[in-house]
Amino acid sequence: MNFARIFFVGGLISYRALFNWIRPSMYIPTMLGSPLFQLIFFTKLGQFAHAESPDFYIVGNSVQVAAMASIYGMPMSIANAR
Amino acid sequence: MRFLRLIRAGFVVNVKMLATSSFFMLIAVAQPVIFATIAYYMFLSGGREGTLLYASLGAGMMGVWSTTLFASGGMIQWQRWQGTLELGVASPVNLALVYLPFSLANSFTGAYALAATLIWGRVIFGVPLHFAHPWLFVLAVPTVVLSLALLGLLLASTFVLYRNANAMSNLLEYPVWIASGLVFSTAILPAWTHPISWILPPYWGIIALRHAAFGGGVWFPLSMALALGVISVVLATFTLRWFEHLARARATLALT
Repeated sequence: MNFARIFFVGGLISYRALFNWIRPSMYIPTMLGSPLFQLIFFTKLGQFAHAESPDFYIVGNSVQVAAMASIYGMPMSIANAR
Repeated sequence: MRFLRLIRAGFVVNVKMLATSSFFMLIAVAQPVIFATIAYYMFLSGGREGTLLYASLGAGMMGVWSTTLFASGGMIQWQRWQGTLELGVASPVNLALVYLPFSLANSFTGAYALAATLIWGRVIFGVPLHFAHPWLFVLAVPTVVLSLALLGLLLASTFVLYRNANAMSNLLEYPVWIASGLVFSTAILPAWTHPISWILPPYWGIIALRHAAFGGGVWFPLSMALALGVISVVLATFTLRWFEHLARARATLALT
């Protein structure tokens, strides 16, 4: 029970402590704008290279972008805790 | 003479700072190589073997832009953190002259990216480094780097007021890669984006490098890149003065 409480309360506090993305002025460019342009970039590169259809890049980049939020989030949580 | 001494001192100090930063070495060397590798495999997958040098040049320019962008975005912020922004602003010389050598150093560090991707492509993928106009290529590289440095100064000036400069840096990386057509032709982009491309020095810079490598007119795109760089530095002189005034009036200069 204590383990679950630490897990959920710690998670909630950590979520609230994501100060880097807490404001729309930071969240929109970082978490929405940049991934969108990344998706456009690779889709256009694929189109130019005649390699795979746009769907291939849209799905692949969506998964990669979602993973990047977790990858960035963990090091930033540790760094900010320091 | 004093101007040259200022440029040299600022340039050397900032190159040393960037050269000891693992973050910038990652952006200037490792990241372009990764992007070049992705582009190589995509071109190979699509049967575009003859365009591997095209990918190398594009990925290299992507690295120059990323380094210029992140370093320009961070330049003012790092000065804030180090407590030297006030000293720079209060110094007797024009503020644009204080930060011009920093911008030059940023883009100079970014030029590692071009060397890294060309060497990587040659060694790992056997990309032939046969340039149609080798001497023009040698001339084009520093000119393009200079034009990007001058654009970096303009970007940095807008970041004096904007405290979330890093977010803006993140946002501007891909759009400029796309609009400049660094690894693909802008012909595949919608027509309404073309005027945006024309006002970007990297767009003309990559055309100059490609023409120097594959053949074609180099002087016009190179002149355009340089002209846009000069326009950027003129604008930066005014914006730095204006934003400095606003930052002083609002007492936000040193706030992080």
